[in-house]
Amino acid sequence: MTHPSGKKTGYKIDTIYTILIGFFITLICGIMLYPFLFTISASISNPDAVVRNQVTFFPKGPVNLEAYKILFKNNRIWSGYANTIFYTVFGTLINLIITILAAYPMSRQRFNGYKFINIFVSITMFISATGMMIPLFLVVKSLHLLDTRFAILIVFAAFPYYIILLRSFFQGLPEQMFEAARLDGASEFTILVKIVLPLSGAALATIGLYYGINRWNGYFWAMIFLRDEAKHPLQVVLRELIVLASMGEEMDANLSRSATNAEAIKYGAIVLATLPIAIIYPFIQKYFVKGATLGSVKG
Amino acid sequence: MIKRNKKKYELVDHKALWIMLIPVLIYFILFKYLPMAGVVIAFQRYSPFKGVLASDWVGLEYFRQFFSSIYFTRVLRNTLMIGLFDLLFGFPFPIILALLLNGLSNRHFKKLTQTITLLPHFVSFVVVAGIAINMLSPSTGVINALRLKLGLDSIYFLQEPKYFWGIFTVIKIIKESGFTAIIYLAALTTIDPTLYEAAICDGANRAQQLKYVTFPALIPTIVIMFIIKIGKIISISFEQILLLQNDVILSTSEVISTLVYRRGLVNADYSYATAVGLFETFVALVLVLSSNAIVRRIKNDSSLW
Repeated sequence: MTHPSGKKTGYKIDTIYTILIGFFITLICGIMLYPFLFTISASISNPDAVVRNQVTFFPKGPVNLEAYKILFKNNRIWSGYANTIFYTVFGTLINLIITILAAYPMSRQRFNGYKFINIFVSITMFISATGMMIPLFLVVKSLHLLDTRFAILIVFAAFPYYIILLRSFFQGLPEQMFEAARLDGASEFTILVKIVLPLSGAALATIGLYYGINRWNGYFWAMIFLRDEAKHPLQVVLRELIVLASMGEEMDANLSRSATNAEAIKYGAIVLATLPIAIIYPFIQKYFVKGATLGSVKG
Repeated sequence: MIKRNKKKYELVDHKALWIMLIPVLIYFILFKYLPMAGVVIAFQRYSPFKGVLASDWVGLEYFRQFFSSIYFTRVLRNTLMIGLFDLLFGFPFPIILALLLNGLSNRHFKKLTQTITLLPHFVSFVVVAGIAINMLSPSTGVINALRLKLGLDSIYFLQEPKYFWGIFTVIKIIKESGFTAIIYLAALTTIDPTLYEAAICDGANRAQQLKYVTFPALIPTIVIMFIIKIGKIISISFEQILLLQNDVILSTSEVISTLVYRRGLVNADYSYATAVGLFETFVALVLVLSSNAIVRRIKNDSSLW
């Protein structure tokens, strides 16, 4: 089996193999990046070139920031941004607090409510979002929470899946440590704040980032719960601007001085909404990779 | 002996833990369990003025209405076909991507490509749908510009029912493959490096290493992911479909969840929509529980692999 000739073909195959992998990976990355590149290019090109389909890869004509100038002057974009930052910061905070408060008792096997609370939380994981859509809306309505910012923060205060992830992480911490602290007279709350949380930095960062991204990207329930445009998050504004493409009267007056500008504005709005995520993404990527495998380890 | 018992008792402060759980219990009761109980309105002619307690009971009336309407076969077919497309095309792609990424030897290039393929997962579906709608547009879309250059007709992709399943599947593949690939990449890192050394000693080239070492090692993960995916086949996110949908292509794009949205939240037909949602919940539950049971059996039977 070790003919010199055989080995040689083996090397040749290896070279072809390496080239093929490089080719396909570059192709895939190109397909995934292209829509973003195109969107950025279209947002800073000459609007006429965009409408006439002359932009394919790179910006056409001198850099044109007209779309951004119009967007920066638009109140709905700014209020959308401010609302999204508000919902993301406080929403994620509430998410983490509820998740920690649930996960800690759920991780203490000697706790007399251990079995109850674990079943109580796990059951809700199996109920489909579609089935709950109408009843949840009616509950929010009957609690008089419709059209309040509070509804956005509180209705999705925790995802059972992340609670269970954090519980599994807490259970991985050495049990004797808690017991030693208890014997030294530490209260459960002290143990949680002084011992458990400082040891859970990476897990909390991962879960917090997932909640944060969810908050930043969510549009559906904000669209359902909020009538008042002043409370709309950026994604709802964006949906009206680019997906429905039917701008409100106020929009027409402020935004589209011409139909050609309207095209560039759509692309500019997409860039503005995605920019914050694109900027912080490379720094937080490792936590996401961790998060994706967290669930599969425990099964 | 007594002392030890006392110590054991104090290892957990039950009262403190229950106090910690108060906000959690309130949250779950209000926004998880109350809506679960609220599905009873599927069996009522629910009127917002009378409330759940005073509305008339109609039994299975709304289920009968749904099953005998043209919507039933339509949304069931669309839901299953979109799920099936995702299974046939969306399932293999992350595996191929993970194998390609794993085959890269340059560490910096590997990291860069993983960053790029993961990026679309974190972009909101509103943005993804917005970009897709623009790129597929007949007047200003890049894809139709390319078709015109090649001498083909321009197509209004999102106004033609026959393209919807394909378009949705392609968008999902581009958006989610990089993220799903992480799970396969994690499985690949657990392969014992000595297996590769042994294969190389036996004269295996890289294609043969892939066939005889890498791929067999991935099979357990592939089987489990496949079963999990079948378990979720009818749970198509309304948030995603809704953004690409329009009235002209409802015949192929209306799925169970968007029907619930349209009848319930747009038309305020609460009882009917809840009945449709309850039907979905029931089927989804049966699928998920069976797939979970199968996965558990496979994991316990790990001697198989």
